[in-house]
Amino acid sequence: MRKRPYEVRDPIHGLIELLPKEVDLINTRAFQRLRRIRQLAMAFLVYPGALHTRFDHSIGVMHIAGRICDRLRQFSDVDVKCEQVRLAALLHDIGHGPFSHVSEHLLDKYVPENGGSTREKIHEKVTVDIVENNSEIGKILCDEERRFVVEMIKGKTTRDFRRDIVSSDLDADKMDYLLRDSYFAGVKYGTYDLEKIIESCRIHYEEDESYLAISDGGIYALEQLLLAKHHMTQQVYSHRVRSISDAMIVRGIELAIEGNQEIEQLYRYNETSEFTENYIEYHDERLIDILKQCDQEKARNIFDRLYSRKLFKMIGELPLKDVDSAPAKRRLLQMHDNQKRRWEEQIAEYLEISSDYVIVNKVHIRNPNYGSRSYSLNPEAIMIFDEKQSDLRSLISYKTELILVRPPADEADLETVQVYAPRDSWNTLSTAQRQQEQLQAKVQDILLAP
Amino acid sequence: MHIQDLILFVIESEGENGLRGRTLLQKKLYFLSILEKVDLGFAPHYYGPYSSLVAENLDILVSARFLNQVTETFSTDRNIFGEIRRHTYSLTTDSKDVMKEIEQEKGYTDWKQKLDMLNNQPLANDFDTLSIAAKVYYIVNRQEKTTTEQIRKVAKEFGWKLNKSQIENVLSFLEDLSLISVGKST
Repeated sequence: MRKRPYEVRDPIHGLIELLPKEVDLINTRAFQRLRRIRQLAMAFLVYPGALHTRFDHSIGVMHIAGRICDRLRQFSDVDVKCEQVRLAALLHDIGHGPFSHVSEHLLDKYVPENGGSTREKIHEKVTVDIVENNSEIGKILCDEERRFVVEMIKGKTTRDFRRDIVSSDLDADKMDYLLRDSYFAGVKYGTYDLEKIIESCRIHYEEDESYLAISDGGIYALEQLLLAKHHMTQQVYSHRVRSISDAMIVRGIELAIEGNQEIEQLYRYNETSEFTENYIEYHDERLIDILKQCDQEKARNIFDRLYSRKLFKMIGELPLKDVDSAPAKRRLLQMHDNQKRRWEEQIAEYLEISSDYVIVNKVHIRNPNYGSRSYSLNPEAIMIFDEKQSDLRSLISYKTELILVRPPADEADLETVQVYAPRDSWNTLSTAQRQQEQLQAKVQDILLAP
Repeated sequence: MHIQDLILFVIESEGENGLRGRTLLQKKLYFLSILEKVDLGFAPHYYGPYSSLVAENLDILVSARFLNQVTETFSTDRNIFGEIRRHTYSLTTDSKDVMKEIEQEKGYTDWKQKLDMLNNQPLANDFDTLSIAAKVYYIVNRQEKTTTEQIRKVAKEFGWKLNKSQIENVLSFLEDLSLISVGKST
């Protein structure tokens, strides 16, 4: 008798079937840790429902990747390697640290070899290290499977549709997180027609390379997805309160790391197995507990504030499009560490508080205009298979049909410099408004001064 | 120099007509980063060493009105992307002001000397040849001694197709930049 498949109930996709090997991977300590790493760090401070984790997201990505593979099988005699693609999708976030993307920034900053100026993404190396060296995972995956998963995470120089499914401008990761984040945040911006996207998936072969493409009938669903990404970025991922809480987490950890060996060990990546074994012991709750009790008073204070939602306020904002002086715009765009520190000290002096409690932060939202090239969503890299012409074209070739194409003159991204600081004394609305206006003017003066 | 300053610097060196093509910019910055021994995030990509940091900062400079971008579109049957889009970049009034600041800053003279050395090469504005040279150098730089045949084999592993004459054609370019020394095989 065939063994009944394992199933897990998911709020986004319904029942998700799991293969035995997937269940084994999910039961490893490294994967179980993802249950305690929230997908959107402390976004629950503004969207109370956003308590979902990397654990459920990873299973959702695996499920979507499997469904895409099933669809592609109908169009190809080539072995799609569905089971291996599902494994890669399941493990794609295994290297995430506490507070998700906040840890990525800190890992990149504190890598010791070259003073934090490395161009390599350390969190990707951590993910690969875990897949390659973790003993529990080693007992579940054979060498070929491990190599395949690493190749899918690191990428190849030749294009491969399987890699496109796991990590690309149009991947299963994005397809899952938009729906999941939208659902848990309680907003509707991230919804799009997933069924149509999957139904439209095709493989196109070009000599040694292969592409995941969307058939021309799917371009409107695709455009819906791209717009969903933009709206989610504006409304959820870059929400003011979320930007403030992320910046406070980073500052708190930066203050704690000096003189705290435990935190230092967590963020100073050194390519050893000891590092990864230690790393996978940490998650959001454990780090908050450590930081709330650490010896560094200012770090402790910041985490106490986060814990009790006494957040810093935005005391000033300067959109780059409003800056007339070219040298000032250059300083704001590049924001060198020394310059940032000087601004923080000047603003702190005016506020009569410690400069450790002033945060100058640059927020950047990309315009989804297909006329411009975006790093994370590049319409030249998303492929459409024109079924009538039997021809593969980039999404940008369909510009006459798409609503998001604007002339190049309208390309300005939404880039702005924000300043956060504690303003506990703002207890009445009229005082707050008056003080805020004065402060905004002062902050702008400081940021624009030659 | 900040990566954004480097992009402006390379584009300025092309004069009033600007720099034609992102590939050319990528490859010039690749060789400049090799000559100045700085890490600009170049990694092997479908079309040779490529830096997403360069691409990202190029977009930021266009958005910030530090660069003019003019896009030409060509239809082609050969290209799977359906059409080729070529972008030409030139400095704006704002970035001309910024360049005056950059010219006064520490390290500028050294970068200028290296860029002049690169621009003085006859192949410096041929993006196709520069791409081949970048692929060849990327491979050669990974091992102490290598032959044309070995370069071809390694290129294949990266998914790059290079033939013997293409490789030999760029060796003198790399030698002139003192990046390699070419000896006879025994």
